[in-house]
Amino acid sequence: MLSRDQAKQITDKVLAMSKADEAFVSLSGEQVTHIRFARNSPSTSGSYDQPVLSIRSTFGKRSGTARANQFDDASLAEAVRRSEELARLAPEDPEHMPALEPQTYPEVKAFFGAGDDGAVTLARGVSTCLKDAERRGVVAAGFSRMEEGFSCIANSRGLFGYHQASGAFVSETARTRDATGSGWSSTAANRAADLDYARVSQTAIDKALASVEAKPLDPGTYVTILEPACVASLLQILTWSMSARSADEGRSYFSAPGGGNRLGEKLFGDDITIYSDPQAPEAPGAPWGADGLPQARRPWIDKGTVANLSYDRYWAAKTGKPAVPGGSNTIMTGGTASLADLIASTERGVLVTSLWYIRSVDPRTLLHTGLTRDGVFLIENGAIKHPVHNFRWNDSPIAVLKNVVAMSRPERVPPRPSHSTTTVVPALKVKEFTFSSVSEAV
Amino acid sequence: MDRRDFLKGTAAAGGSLLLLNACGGGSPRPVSPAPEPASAVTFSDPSLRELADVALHAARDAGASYADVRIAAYRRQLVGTREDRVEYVNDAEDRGFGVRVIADGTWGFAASARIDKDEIARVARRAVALAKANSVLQREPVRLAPVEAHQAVWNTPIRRDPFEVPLAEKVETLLGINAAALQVAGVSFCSSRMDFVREHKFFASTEGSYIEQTLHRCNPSFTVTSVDRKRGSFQTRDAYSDPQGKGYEYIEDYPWIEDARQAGEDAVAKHNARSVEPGKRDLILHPTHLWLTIHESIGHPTELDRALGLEANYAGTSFLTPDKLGTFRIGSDIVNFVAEKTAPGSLATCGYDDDGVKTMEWPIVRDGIFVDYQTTRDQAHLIDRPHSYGTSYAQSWKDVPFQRMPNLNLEPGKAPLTLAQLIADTEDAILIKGRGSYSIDHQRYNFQFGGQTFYEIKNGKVAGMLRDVAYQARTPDFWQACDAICSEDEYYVGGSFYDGKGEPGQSNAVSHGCPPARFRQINILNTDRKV
Repeated sequence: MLSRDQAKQITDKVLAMSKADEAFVSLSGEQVTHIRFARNSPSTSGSYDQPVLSIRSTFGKRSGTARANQFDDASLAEAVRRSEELARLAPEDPEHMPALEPQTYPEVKAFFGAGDDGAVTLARGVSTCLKDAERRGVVAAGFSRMEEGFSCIANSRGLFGYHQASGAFVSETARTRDATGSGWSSTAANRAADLDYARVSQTAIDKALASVEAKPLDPGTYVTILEPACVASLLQILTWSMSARSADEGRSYFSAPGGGNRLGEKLFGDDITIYSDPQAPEAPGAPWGADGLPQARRPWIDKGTVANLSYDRYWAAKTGKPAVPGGSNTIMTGGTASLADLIASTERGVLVTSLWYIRSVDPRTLLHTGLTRDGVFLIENGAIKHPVHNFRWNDSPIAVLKNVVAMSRPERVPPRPSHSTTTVVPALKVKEFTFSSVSEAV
Repeated sequence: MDRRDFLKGTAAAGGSLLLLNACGGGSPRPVSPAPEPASAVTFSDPSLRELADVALHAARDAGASYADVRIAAYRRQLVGTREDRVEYVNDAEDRGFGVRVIADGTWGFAASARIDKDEIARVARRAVALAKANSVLQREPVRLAPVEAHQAVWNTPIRRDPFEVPLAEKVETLLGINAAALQVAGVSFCSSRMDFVREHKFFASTEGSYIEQTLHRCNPSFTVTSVDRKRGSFQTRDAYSDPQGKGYEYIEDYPWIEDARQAGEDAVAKHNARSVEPGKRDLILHPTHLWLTIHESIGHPTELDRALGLEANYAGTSFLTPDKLGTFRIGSDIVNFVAEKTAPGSLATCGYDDDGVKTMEWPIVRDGIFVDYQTTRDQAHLIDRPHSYGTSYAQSWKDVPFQRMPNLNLEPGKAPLTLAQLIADTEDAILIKGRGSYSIDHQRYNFQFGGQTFYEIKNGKVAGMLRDVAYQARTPDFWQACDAICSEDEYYVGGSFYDGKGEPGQSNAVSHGCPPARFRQINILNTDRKV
């Protein structure tokens, strides 16, 4: 991994080679080690170093970007030449924004690397999963990875930023040998040594064993407890859709009827707050966003009200607003209850472990469809009564957040199937969630 | 028949011209396999073989029983526009190599972007070390099906290299698309883009193969948006184009301006289209739509790694378990699917897969019965097949090759049947065109698809546009409800540029050829909601 000084030497060199009016360089490197397992045995493993250099050159209002992954002088010069050639050939961009002046970025402690490749740590963790699976008579499949990396940005006006981060992930699916039960769990951490393989393995196996002999439950609208992995998936949809420009242009849920956007509109209850904060110790994020704009603690939904939409620099200038990059992490404040408390407070409802294959159905309402996966249970009189078949659902994160009646404590959990380490969300109990058909998939 | 002739033909047959533009610039049905490799093999750079040998020797010396290496360079160019401006022009080069080994019966893999002999030897030893470290957890040793040693060069046959096409020409085409759409009253926005990939890889293995391949593919498209401020609503229509395993000739051949204008009219018309009544209806699925249903409901469940549980934690498993091979009825008796990686112009087409297996064609569903899977060398023995069907692929030098979907096609009906004739033969149905929303469960039973445009068919005629349409079905029920498949001259090849699978996630490009087909009494949903 390149140090700050080594990275700066390269960005300085690239900027010195540049003949363009303006140049923006980003440089990153990632060392990844991973292991995959299935059928209670390792299936594949690997390790790689991934360096990437990107240079955007601009002449007047004409820009072009070239990427390369070789950092010798000749390759750097070739990348600069290609970007400049593309820039000269590109038409003028009426929305071109001049290079950003130097910025002050928040100090982010996101690197917890051990300095080794982690292969031994991953193998030891996976060994725990495989032994548990054998001991409890299930078939385990899963994946674990760790990465250590840096990213660096620089431009011809003297802007410079350098950031290091590390992260690790494990997930496991446990299936009963007769394939009638399936459970899943995952977690993320700052480094592989902090991953709780035993807890992930236990949860996945517990859910697999508890989900056998699932019974059909009629599709319909139910009080539903969405575990944190489900909420992470739904919030990802919400945060990706919070562009001010799309809203102002009338092609977003966040468009206001008659023009403009919903900034400042109260959409949800007072207990719904979603924010990003690169310095959040529970899930640190990158210190800058698009174009090198600094990140900061920033509410997106504050006590139910739309507190921010993202503004790129052009749209901000055009509309007279400050530029706001999309957040580099997603944190939802929750409640103080446990998942068990949410179940205990439910007279009749459905508990969902994870959501799968989520796709947009109607961008006007953020209606999405997807499936439940790896553990769906009917709750009656404050306790799990029995497992039920999976469902196809059609619902919107907007409707879900409007229908929240209780929340658990938030936890760091990746939105399935992503390996992201930057989401912290609670479980949600919602007064209705729409299951539109039964899936017999286990 | 090329596309323009086809358009004339359908217009003359009495249908609305652009409603029935079946073959939106896609491939004609391939009639011959991909060209054989050159007989006298000359690699583009002799040092590639030397470098590859360094990896193979180092892996062997470190204790590998098998090793292969891919030294690869990827070039990619993306140009994106909206309305009258170019949003981005990106050109990327990505080079590196990956060494894969079997040591102590266990796979190991390592990769690096630094292509020199010392690094190659180091990375090969690292791959062996990873394999050995994990071998203590291995239950059964990896077994590879036999493969012939090949020394070959294979290239995607392209007419025009997209990386040699001037940027100005690409920009002119894209801005022309936007302008054509924006000329339609009620159109608010149009964005358009082109994405070109060139994949050059040199493969060598301890089986004695040395194979150099250069693959090309392209993915042009556009999206038209109509905003109706009074209603506080918006509608979109994407291009009916599909990604192809072709060069710039696909851009030249596709009728962009015609499609953009029609897309504009469609997006505007959607505002006033009738919202569909939910319930059971017959469906006629246009090939620009049907390919994706094939991909999700037939392509994925016939991946052997899914069926065996190797994808259980990510993509999922499959309802098509090996005990169903040769006996399970997945479709009506007119339903036949063929897998191949040989059709010219298709996305997964190549000469050799990333196991070094020569590509081929084989049946997946015959007369409605599930008869075979997609396999790789390390899987074939698990279903008692003597050899691999050659479906191994890695998206990049840094990624581990594994089983990926080949092109998988629905065979045309044998009796002559045009789309116009099929519509004329249909009393009450919905015709769906274009790729829309898509979702399917992790065993590939329950799916839900939307589309770009929906038309009501009443008494053999197109009776107007519908909106808010999605259909849900169970895979075997759906394919058993197929009662008509159009014939050869309606065959069209669509495809996906980004089919995701595996951990770490990898992308695969794959085509699916099909003619229009009819499905009886499928469950239709109305997707309009108030939130």
